[in-house]
Amino acid sequence: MAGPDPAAGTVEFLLKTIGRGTAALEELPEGSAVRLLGPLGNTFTVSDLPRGARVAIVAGGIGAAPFPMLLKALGNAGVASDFYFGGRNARELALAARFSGAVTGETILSTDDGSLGEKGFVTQALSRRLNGGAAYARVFACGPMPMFAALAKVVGPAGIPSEFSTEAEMGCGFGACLGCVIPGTDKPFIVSCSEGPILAPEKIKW
Amino acid sequence: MTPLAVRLGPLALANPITTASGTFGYGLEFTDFVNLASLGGLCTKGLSLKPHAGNPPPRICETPAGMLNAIGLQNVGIDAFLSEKLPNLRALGATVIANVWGDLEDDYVTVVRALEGAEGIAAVELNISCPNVRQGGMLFGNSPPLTHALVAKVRAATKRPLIVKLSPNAPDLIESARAAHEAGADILSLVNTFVGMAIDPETAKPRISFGTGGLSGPAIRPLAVRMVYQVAKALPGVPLMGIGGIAELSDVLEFLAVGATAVQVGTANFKDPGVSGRLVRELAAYCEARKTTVADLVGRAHRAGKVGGEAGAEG
Repeated sequence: MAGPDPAAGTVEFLLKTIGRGTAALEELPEGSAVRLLGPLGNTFTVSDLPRGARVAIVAGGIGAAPFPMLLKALGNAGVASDFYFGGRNARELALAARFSGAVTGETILSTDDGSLGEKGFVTQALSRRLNGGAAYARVFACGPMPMFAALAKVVGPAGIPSEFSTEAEMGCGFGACLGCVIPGTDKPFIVSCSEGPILAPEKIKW
Repeated sequence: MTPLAVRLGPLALANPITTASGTFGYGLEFTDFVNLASLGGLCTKGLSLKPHAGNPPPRICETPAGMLNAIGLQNVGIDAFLSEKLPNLRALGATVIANVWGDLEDDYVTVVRALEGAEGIAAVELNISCPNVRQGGMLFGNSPPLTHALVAKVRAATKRPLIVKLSPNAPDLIESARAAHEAGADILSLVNTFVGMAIDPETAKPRISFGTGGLSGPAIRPLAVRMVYQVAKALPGVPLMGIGGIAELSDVLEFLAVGATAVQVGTANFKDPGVSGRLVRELAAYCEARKTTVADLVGRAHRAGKVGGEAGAEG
């Protein structure tokens, strides 16, 4: 979910068409009724960040979807955000335009093939800036598991408290089927849908 | 008796709609969507002697008209179930069917004995048909002599109504059903999931880490209906609970017609968590409109006479 607009009575979703379900959503005519179960799971933590703090938002591909809403909340809280947005190629960064104006700090684009922004992984772009002296009160991230695994190796040694919005195939969405588990450090498995999807990287067994 | 009430041997249920083990958590996860007391019953997640971690992810994947799963029977264990889950289920007025599994015969017996002293258990369902664990589970279900030995041992350990959940993967379903019945099962529930497999075309690896998984959902319904029909015919008078892709009232009627006295709603709970409560209401409206009872709806396909091509069911 990218953002609710209570005044307009709308909720915005950013979708990537990957199968029949998302294809059906894409093809819905305007004004169609949709049955929705939600909101489910936990949320990013913003309320404890002091005004004037600076955070990094790291997005991989469609992992950018939840961040318009977070950027707005951070902006309202007086927190500055640098937005790191990476993908395999320029096409995967098509959503970047959606973020212009919403990012209060710097926007750093990266692609694996170098077709847009810095060449390489988004985690490398973050790492370079941290090595260059950038400091963040928190890192918020959403993307595929390989990106998270690489990012955990960056934010862990840097000692930055982080929140990863994890992705797993889900059956029920509310902790009944136990289909979406992620290996944990203080217990065998974390149920992503009900205990997450937002988890601290140190809780995840990489 | 109300029009919806059913009796399966020693087990009386207010209506025939129950939920299948593994698709309904411990019931408590569904209280936002279903009044648990309105259901005929709910089958708990499979309970074992000790807490069980289950299989590594990925555990599920979507398939045409269904899904594959290899959760691996993750559960809190019998002690935590009795102390943390059951009191809440009791307070909500749920009719609880405790699903039990183990690696060894003695594990089943120990868990069933622990349940024997607990208040608020309507029946015990033995899972001898889980395809997603290395030991136990389906091993018992795939061999009629092992089925018989296990069920007889458990039978001796409980006075409660005993349900045995059968595997559609058994070499001879009728023989498995007969073995369970002869060893003292009051009720047979069928079917558990079919062993299936899905491969990621990019990586050529199974989409589930366990390799194979149990196929469920509407995809298996015609297979399950056929199996309930066959067991009902082979073992007349043995109460059956039908399971397999039930999502609509017409599906419930189909299973009742082939001889199930009650049904278990499974995978549909993931698509619509309120489906079980809705089916109870729709079945009540159906019986009211037709001036009929559920008991009268059971076995209609058998009473309708010989089914064409019946002898050729295997080919």
